[in-house]
Amino acid sequence: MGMKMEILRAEHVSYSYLSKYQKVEAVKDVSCSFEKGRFYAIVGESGSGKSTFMSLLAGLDQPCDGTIYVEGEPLCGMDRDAYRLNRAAVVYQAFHLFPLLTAQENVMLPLEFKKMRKKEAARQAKRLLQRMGLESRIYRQFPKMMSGGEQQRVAIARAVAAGGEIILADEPTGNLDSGNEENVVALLKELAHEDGYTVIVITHNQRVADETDHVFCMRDGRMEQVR
Amino acid sequence: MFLLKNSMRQLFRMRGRVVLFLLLLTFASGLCSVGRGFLMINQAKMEAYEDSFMTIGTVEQKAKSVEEQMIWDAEIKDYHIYNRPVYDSYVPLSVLDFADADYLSGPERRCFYGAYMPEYEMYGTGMSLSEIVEGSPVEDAVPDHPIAFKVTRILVGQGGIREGHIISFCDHYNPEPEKLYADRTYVMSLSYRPGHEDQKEFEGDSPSEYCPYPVLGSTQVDAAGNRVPDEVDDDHFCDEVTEGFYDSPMGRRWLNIVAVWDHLRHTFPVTGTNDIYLMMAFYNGNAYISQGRAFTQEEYARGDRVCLVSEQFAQREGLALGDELPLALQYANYRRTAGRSFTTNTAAAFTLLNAKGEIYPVFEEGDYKIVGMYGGQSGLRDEYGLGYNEIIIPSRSVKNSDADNILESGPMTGSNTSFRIANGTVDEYMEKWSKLQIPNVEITFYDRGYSELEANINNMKYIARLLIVMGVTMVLMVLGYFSWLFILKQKERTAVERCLGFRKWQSFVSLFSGIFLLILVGSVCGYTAGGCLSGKIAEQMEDKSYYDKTFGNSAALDANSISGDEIDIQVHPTFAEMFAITAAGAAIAAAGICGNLRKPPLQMFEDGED
Repeated sequence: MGMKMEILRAEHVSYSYLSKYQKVEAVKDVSCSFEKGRFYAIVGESGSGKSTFMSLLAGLDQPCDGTIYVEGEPLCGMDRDAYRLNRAAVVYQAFHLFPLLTAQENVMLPLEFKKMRKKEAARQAKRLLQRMGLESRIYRQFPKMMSGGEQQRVAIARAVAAGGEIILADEPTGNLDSGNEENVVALLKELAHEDGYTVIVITHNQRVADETDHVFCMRDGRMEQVR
Repeated sequence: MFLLKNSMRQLFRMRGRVVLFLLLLTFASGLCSVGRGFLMINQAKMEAYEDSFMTIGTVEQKAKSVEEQMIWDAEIKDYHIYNRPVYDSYVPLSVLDFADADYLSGPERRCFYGAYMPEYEMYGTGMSLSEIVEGSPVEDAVPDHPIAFKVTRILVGQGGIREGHIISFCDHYNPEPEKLYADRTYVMSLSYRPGHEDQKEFEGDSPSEYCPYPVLGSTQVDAAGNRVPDEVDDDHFCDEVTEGFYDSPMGRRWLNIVAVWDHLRHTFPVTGTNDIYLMMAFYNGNAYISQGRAFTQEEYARGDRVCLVSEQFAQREGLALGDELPLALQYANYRRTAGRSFTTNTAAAFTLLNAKGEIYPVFEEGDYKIVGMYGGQSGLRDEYGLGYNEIIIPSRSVKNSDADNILESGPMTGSNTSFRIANGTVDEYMEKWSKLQIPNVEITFYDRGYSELEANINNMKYIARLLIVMGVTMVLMVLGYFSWLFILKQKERTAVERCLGFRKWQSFVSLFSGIFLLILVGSVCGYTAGGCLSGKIAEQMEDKSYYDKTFGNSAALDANSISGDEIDIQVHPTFAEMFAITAAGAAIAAAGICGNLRKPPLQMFEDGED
């Protein structure tokens, strides 16, 4: 193991919102840190605040209290759109691919958005899809024509294509069978250990958690490190 | 550019929806366009009709009652009974001057003047009022039946009687005629009529007789319409000629009436008006400007000395446009119309003597420039027509009062009182008029079918508006539905874009640009299709929309177009509805997208799953 490099740190982060009938305190005074090149799992029951915490880490929302630091810089002071574009990518259980774009176009989109030439973007997208273990026939297929595992691997490829350092995956294997689950977890692990991504996976699947380097557990909005 | 391309790429992957959207939007915006075109076509038609039709009202004072008039008939030895209208007083023209009457011209109460022009002849109307002769009965007799009467001198004749002739004379309409003596000489004003049945025994199948035709008594009235007292009775027709009779006042009156005969040959009817189309002859197209022009508004307003003459009169007298006629106005007749009084072969049936027994003196004199000539019918003894050789002048050109030269007065009638109002305002006018509650005055409107045309066109305009409303509703429904489909259903896409680091405006452009382009294409297609269809409709209407301008004012201005003309319908294109549809669509789309973007991505994901 090399030198520890902290990339994300949450300090006393709390988040609450108003539901229809009451104020919900989804995240309560959470403090934790994430290092570069490590594979993390945040486990917990449904409604424990995992996904909310992840959206705070992704800069999709802001904490009510506390601060999230990205390489020592407070996220709240950063351009959060640029943060997601350049540093943190999000992968969801429901894949959330663009249904009207092919697998390759889905991966190309963040590249072209970053003004990469179309040909170059296509080449890079192909390379990424290949790396995700997808056959070339898949490249031109629309998400509806793909299996769940294939869609999730395309989603991960798109996250990687964005070229960030952090991958936030919310239940990435939730919709997958065990075979695909293993493949996706292996892929994420590889991205963390070989490519240096900080991969944070939210899951309540113990098998997935077992594959990670560190496990945090959220219970009723509070977090504790299990491993 | 990438955002636009991305937007279009994703949009056109929904080909079915896009095509359906384009078709529906094209149809809906086309409906708007056709509706607008249809509305414009009908508006153009309305304007064309507006220029070609006019609405005039004629005014008639109804008699308060009728009274029986008994006229003796010497042949049947009994009275004929006629009904005669009775007026308490004549309702003045001023009753028509009420607030908000909104006349385009008039109201005017026309009279006709007698203009003496010794250089010109009336020709056909050169007949005398009657024949004025001297003579004696062959034997003493009461002329309650045709008696033999020897004519010894002709003062005014029409060629029927010659000196030395013995004619049948009967004081036909007098139940108690005075006895005539064979040894006396009488001067008489006579007119011809078919003889009695019992004369056939002596005169064959076509007997004739001469009966009194009183012309000596003046009919002069003052400005208020009251008769100016005259010592000679209305029915005075005969005097005994004694030594020095023609030096007596009555004798001089007889000589004056003889002079009237020559005067009549040179006296022309002249009508003053503020708008020639207030005269029914011009309004209904029986008379029309064949050469030159009608009077201008300025000429009417200033009362310029300009005139219109009959083309036959001008031809006969060698008159041309620009020539001047020296009109010397002598009398004004407010009872009869020139059309009724001046025909091609009979004289005016009224005397030209005033209450002093003299020919009316000239009260207005001036040279009138001929600016136009009229063709058509005249001199047909038509109350509403033009008189033989009638001359038309602007009313205001008569500057002097005719108060001392009024030959007869009468009530307002359809032929002498009229006004013009805007087309389609008859009901409005009548509503205001009826509030005044003027008794015994009846107004009759003529619009030559304009009201029906207007009603039809209004129905068409209603249909056009309905099409527009339907089109707009459909456009809104299409835009609403497809906004839901293309925008609200695309929350997940927006959320993903936001997660990938798209800024809000970039997500907005990514979705909006394609939709905006679609809306633009749809509205352009609809506008083009609608415009083409409107053009076709306009063409069809041009082909078929002939209307009878015979009674329109423009027809009267142009004799060649009397048979009708084509309406030139032009639909001027406007991009208004195209812009409106595009703007509405853009607004709806923008509102939908902004609504989406206000929510955080996670909520958008959740909404998208719903």
